[in-house]
Amino acid sequence: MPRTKLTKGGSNKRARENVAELEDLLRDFDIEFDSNLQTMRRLHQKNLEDADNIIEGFKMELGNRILSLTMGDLKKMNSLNEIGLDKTVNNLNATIKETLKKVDEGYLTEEASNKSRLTSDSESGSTAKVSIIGPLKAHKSRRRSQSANNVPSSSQVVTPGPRAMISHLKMRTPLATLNADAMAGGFPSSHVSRSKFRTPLQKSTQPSKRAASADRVQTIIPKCNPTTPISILRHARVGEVAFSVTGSPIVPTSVVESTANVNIPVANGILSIRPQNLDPSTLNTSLLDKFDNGTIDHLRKLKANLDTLMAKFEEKNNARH
Amino acid sequence: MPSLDKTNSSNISTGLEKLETLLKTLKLFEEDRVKTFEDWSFSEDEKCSISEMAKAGFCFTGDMSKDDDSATCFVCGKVLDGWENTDDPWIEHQKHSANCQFVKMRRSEDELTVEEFLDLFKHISRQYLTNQYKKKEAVFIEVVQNIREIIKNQQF
Repeated sequence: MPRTKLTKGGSNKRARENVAELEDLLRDFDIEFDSNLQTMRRLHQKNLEDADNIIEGFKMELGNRILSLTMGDLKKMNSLNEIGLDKTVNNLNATIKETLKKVDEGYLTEEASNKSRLTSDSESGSTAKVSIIGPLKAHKSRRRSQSANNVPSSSQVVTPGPRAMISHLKMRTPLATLNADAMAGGFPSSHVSRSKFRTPLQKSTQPSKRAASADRVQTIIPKCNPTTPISILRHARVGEVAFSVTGSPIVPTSVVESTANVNIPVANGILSIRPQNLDPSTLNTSLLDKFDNGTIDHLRKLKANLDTLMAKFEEKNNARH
Repeated sequence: MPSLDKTNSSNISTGLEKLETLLKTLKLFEEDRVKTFEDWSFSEDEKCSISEMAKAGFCFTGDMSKDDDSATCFVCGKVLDGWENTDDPWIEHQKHSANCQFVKMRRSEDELTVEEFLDLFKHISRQYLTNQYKKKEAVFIEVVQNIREIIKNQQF
């Protein structure tokens, strides 16, 4: 006689599974929500800091003389000339001009490595010897002619990146070997180009070697934060592949410099400021156009940081005497 | 008031326009606060005149047609209504909102130094940004909670 078959908690089990699944889903949902909320709060904090920085920067730009005026006095004034703001701006122009002149006259003739930096002809006002850094298009256009010349140059700026690795992986032709030799011999070649005379059918006989790519490298764990106001970094070693973790432009130099200097990325190169005296009257004002607002903000912060640092030094010196 | 050259670059001029709009929204300047009092019950020779109200940091946020004379401080956001002609705006401000940055300074715009004025600007822009953010966050949390409820009530 047939009887009703009892299922061993089948539907219950399914229901339990569903509940568990739902709980998992909700937990994931909550985690996602929390992390989004945290991100939003962080962004808000950053916005607040940015707003503070803008006003602080503005205060610094005005200087103590103007800051100590009352609003009533300020309103009575007819032009900015009365409070000497135009003078402040002119002084700044002059300072930069002088620095650039010294850079052009002094270091550049002595150090080949500096040739690639942005320099300025102080008399004609034209910009000379602009290095090719950054934009891939510009870099490519130069690469081509260099590979045709087949001469590795020591004065070029190394643009580090995955491409540099190709030389070790693809030594198929004498040209590539030459480049590799040049690198081994201490010549920092700006690039390693692929030869036009590649051996045909190589692909079919052996699997092609994979070019180095940013996607294929193992995870890079930054050991320091390069975005902090003052950070100690090291120069890239010859032949070393540099990956920019934060997407910032890098200026590797083949010659390690012993003096403190400031490198500022501008529209078409790097502006390098050296610890030499700057004559305000000879500063090339066309250079100022190269700074965008972001750069000026950064310079302002940099100046503030240097001022803070110098104030600390003074304090320390005073304490000693 | 010194004027800045706006013709220099379009980028700078849009920035300045944005700044002007922000300053108007925040009612940082006394003259912008004065402009909010279009219809006010008290004349200029009374203690509670428009210029004294604006000097003490108040801008009009009421509706005179509905008998609402509320005025709000541009720094602390304190709303006060029921003004009488003998009320001193500064004293009322201090009585009801002693912790207000502006009350602590207790000086009119012209008497503040440029630095103090800019610090005030910093203070109220922080508040403005925080208020704007809190509103957005509240909406976000509410929407997310609603979605969570929908997921939770799913029938299998």
